[in-house]
Amino acid sequence: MAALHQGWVIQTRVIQALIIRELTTRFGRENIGFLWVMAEPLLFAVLVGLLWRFEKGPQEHGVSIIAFVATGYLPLVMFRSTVTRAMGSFSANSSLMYHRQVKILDLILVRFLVEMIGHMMAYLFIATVLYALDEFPWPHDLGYLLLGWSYYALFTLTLATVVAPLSEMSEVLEKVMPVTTYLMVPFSGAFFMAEWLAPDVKAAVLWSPPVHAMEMMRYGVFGDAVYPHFSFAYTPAWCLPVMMVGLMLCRHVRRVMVVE
Amino acid sequence: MKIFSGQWFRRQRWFAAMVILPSFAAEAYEGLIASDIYVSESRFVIKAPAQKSAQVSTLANLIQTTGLSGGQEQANEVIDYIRSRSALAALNRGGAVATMYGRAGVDALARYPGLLRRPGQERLFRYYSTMVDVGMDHETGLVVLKVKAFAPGDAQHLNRQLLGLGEDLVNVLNARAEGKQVAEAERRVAAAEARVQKARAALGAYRNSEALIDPSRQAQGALEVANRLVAEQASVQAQLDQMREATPRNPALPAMQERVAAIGRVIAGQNGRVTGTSGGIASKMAGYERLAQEQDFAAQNLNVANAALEQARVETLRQQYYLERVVDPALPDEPALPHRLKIVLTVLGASLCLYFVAWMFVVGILEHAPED
Repeated sequence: MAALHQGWVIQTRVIQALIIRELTTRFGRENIGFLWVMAEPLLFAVLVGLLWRFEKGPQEHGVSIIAFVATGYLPLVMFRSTVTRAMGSFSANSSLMYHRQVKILDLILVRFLVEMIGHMMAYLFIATVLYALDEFPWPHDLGYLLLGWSYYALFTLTLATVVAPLSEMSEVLEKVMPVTTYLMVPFSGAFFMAEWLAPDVKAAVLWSPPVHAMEMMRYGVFGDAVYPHFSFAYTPAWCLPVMMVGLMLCRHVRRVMVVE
Repeated sequence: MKIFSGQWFRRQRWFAAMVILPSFAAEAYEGLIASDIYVSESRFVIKAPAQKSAQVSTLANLIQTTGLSGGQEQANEVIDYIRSRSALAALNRGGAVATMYGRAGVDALARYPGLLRRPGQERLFRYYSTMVDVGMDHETGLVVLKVKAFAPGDAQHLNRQLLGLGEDLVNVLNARAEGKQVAEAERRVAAAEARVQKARAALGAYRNSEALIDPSRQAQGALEVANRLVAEQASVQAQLDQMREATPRNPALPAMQERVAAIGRVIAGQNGRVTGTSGGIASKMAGYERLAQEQDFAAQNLNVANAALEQARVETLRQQYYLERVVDPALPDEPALPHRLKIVLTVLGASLCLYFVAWMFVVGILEHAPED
């Protein structure tokens, strides 16, 4: 028990330190520094939301379109940037491997946490601003929103643990990955509710774990204005086996990795 | 093992303040203070008797099938009504709703009026909106009405009252629709009847003034007489001619000639009755026929109007919507709300998220701090 507690304390300290390091190395200390982590998704969500707003009018299926785009786009940007950042995270930080306390998983976890918390900030910020402008509803059920967000984060982390070691093994993946994340867009649930789709398309889309998470979040925000389709068990049931594969790959990479 | 010791708390004071404290507060409130909430649910559907579209043309059918199916529109009206201030006003006669939600023993945070809610018409309406939830069940098409209250009987009572209000509304809507359609049809029938009366009176007056009943039959009679007379005249003329050939000195000849001439005069008189003179039947014919035609049209019009009235009555019978209760409001024997565990977990999750965000914020800002 005491050993576990010790380990936990060290782990949290390492993670904290690495997050600070990550923030500084990535965003530097000029102008707004680490706040860039929030700015990127914010700009994305706001601009795309405005684009849609002028393309399709203020409401879609009885939901404010800007709010709809923002709620869908932020998790998607989190997913894409995390997976992109996960590539090459080992070789970039291989010097850290000299420290005994730093485990290979920490590197992935840190990059994931920075992205997740940054996008959480952006979410909070954008929701507050839109709420003040009367474009965002008071969340119908915060519990669903949080659970959906954590499911989305779990899916993101799962893919990061798979992509990171694979990118060390082959150069091709790095070239293919941006295309793949782009192709993930229709399966991310960002721009539709499953309910709006044709039955066979809906069934196909519900094979994708992030769609369940997204439907949960949408229900948490918009409540009965939307008809969500999700299962509580599907996303974890999908993520756990995949994550196991990812962890095995990480072990393998750790063995063959050359520490300069 | 120094978790939750004083030292630990000092080091983790922000975590304690932002996560542990709110979670414990939520836990304490939900576990010790929060009143049980009972939910009474009822389901109903708005129906009309089966629509038979036998007499309606296919085009009308096409038009009918667009838009909402039967009862859907009325269901939406009822839903909006239940959510409205007028429904609340009907329920809250003598402040019944306010007393129901302000019973003794209800915790101060949840009650009305309470710590968070000052009394007032608008605030009561907002509170009512959170306690009454009505909407269309997406899968079955039934309307679901859920009422929350702090006592099982209250929830059921309020639900029943709301159902009753919904039924009243449907009846009022029916009465309005029926009144409009049938009254319109009845007005048309009355107009048609008046027209028939007028046509009959005009025709009768014409008959009296012109002294004839049915000009066509009268003219026929006159012409028939004339025809018979022409035949008779021809046979008398033949006899006369024969007599002249055989016995030119016959003393009966002048009398015969006189007879032929007399018959000729009568024929001319008969023909004159029908045509040729200003007082003849032919000249009266036009006026008579105009009036007779008007009478025919008026009679047909009356028939059509009567049929339309009958159809309007049938139609309104078919469109008599009624509220059918599928599930009666039950008397809940267990509190359904609040989901204590879920609320506590939500508070914990939300405060954790906020803590992480705040931590990163602070770390970022500290990074910017000038290094001493």
